[in-house]
Amino acid sequence: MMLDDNPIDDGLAAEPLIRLRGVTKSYHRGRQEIPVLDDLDLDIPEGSFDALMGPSGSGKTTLLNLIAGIDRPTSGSVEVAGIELTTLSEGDLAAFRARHVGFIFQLYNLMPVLTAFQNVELPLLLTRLGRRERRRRVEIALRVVGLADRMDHYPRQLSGGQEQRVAIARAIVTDPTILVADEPTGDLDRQSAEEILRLLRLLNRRFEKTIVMVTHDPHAAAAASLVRRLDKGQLADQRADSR
Amino acid sequence: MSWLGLVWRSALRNRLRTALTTAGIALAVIAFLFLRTFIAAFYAGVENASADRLVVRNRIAITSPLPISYVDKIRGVRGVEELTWMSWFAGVYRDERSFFALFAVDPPSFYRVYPEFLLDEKERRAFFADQSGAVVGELLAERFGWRVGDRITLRGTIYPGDWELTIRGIYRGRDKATDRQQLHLHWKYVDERVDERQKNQVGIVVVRTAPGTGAQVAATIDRLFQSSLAETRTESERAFNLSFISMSAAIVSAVQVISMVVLGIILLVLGNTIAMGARERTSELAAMRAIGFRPRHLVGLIVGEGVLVAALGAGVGLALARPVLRFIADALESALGAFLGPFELSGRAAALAVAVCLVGGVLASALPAWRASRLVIVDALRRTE
Repeated sequence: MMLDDNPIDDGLAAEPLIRLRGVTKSYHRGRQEIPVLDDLDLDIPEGSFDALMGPSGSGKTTLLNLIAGIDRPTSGSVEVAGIELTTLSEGDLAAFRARHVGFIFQLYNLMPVLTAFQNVELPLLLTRLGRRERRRRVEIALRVVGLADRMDHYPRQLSGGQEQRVAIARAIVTDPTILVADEPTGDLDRQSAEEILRLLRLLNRRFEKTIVMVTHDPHAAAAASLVRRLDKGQLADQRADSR
Repeated sequence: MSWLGLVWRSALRNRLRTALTTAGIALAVIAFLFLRTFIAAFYAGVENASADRLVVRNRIAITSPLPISYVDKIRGVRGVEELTWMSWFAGVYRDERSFFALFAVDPPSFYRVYPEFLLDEKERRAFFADQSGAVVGELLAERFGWRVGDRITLRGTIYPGDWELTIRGIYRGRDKATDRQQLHLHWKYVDERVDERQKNQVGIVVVRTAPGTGAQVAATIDRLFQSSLAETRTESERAFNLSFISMSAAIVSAVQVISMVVLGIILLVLGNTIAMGARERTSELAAMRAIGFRPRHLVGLIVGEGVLVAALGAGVGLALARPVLRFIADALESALGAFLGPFELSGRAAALAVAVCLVGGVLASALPAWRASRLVIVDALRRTE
């Protein structure tokens, strides 16, 4: 379900929204090649809420970055919403991200000189929407995250949990195809983390947002409908949530 | 929020730093405008030179006089419509620092050849009638608090002795650029009081010609005195004024270079400010790239900040320039006196300062903008997480 309550095409639900095939990714440190992902295949259906877990260096953030289109694989195919990302130019990748991806960072990455409203409005500057329509969408997004009464506050005037909720509003305001979250509760206290996880579950269940979340925290992972474990660049196992 | 709003808010991220940079640019603009105005004032005599006036002087040097007998001979040259003569009277009033230009002139012909000096008819008659009288420019009168009827004493250097003068008139300028800091006294008064060696001599003869005949008349005059005891050099007033100040050309050139260096330095400061601002928010810029902003958007944002700060500085500088220049001009007047022309801020200098600031804003932010556009999103996010 889209944020403005337009119905979604159910026919697409059966197809994997995210499809990775034979993906490898390695970095170079000097002459040394460091493998991060190794011949990885992955299908994520539309409307799922997946948690990626694993030890440090297992490649979970790299996998998230590939799905989000901010990094490119060394080899293999990354397809999101029917678009093969490996063939896109930098400009097209930026356009893909603007249209299809909502980002939630561990440290929120809000602009301190902008109010909550303006931070949420930021991605809409890339669209052709008029001022009034932008305002409508921002207000909806802030209502969804429960911060309609804080829209004129600057990030420094908000708690960590509220900042992350503003970041989530910024992520959903363009009504993206997928939400990617990298340790979204990693910098929050228990109560704030719980609120964020509740919000992500709401976005997944009520608004049918496809969410891929990287986390170290088993408690956070438990909020997802599927937990995938990575180890040494490969998917180790996956566990479906019984709820 | 508009794009411009985003640029504005980004530029004001660190208000103290932006304010200091803006103040620095404003100061540089004022310094630039001061130096440019100084140069313009220096060249004012050249710029205001009349196109139909010729100056006849001794060929050997500007300080060598011509015999008064040349005046009548020159008057007979075809094409000469009017002429006058004058001598540089190096007199000191109070002390050497109170310098101003003094000319011993033939009053009736002088004011016919120089119609830009406006004198009331009553004062004109009083001056003509009093051989020990003098006329001063209104700025000079204002500077020393002189009024018509005041008696002043000058100490002569070229023409030794004390020279008592009565101020008979205060002239105004026909144009804004007319030099209003001169003192005119009777050439005859001087000539009658000097010793034999200095008698019957004039510094220069100034000739007004019919339009378009200047070159021909100049050649005729110089031919007339060829092989005589005092050969002449006749040139346009502009050329004469230019040669007069060419001795200080090196200083003027240095001032011109300094004026550009001042702006150059401040643009480096601006570049540093923008670069620091961009470096401090690498993670923000990376996040912007992640959510779909393209490299050109970041370039626009950072260059926009540079231009905005530069424009702010230029605006503040321009707003303050006029009162500051007035203050400096007043201070300089006592030091340099009539050595400089009118100290007026020109529109061209102001436009040049604004243009240099805006172009400088683009140049100063070009490197940080280019760096931001080449940001590797993953690396930039990893650095801060």
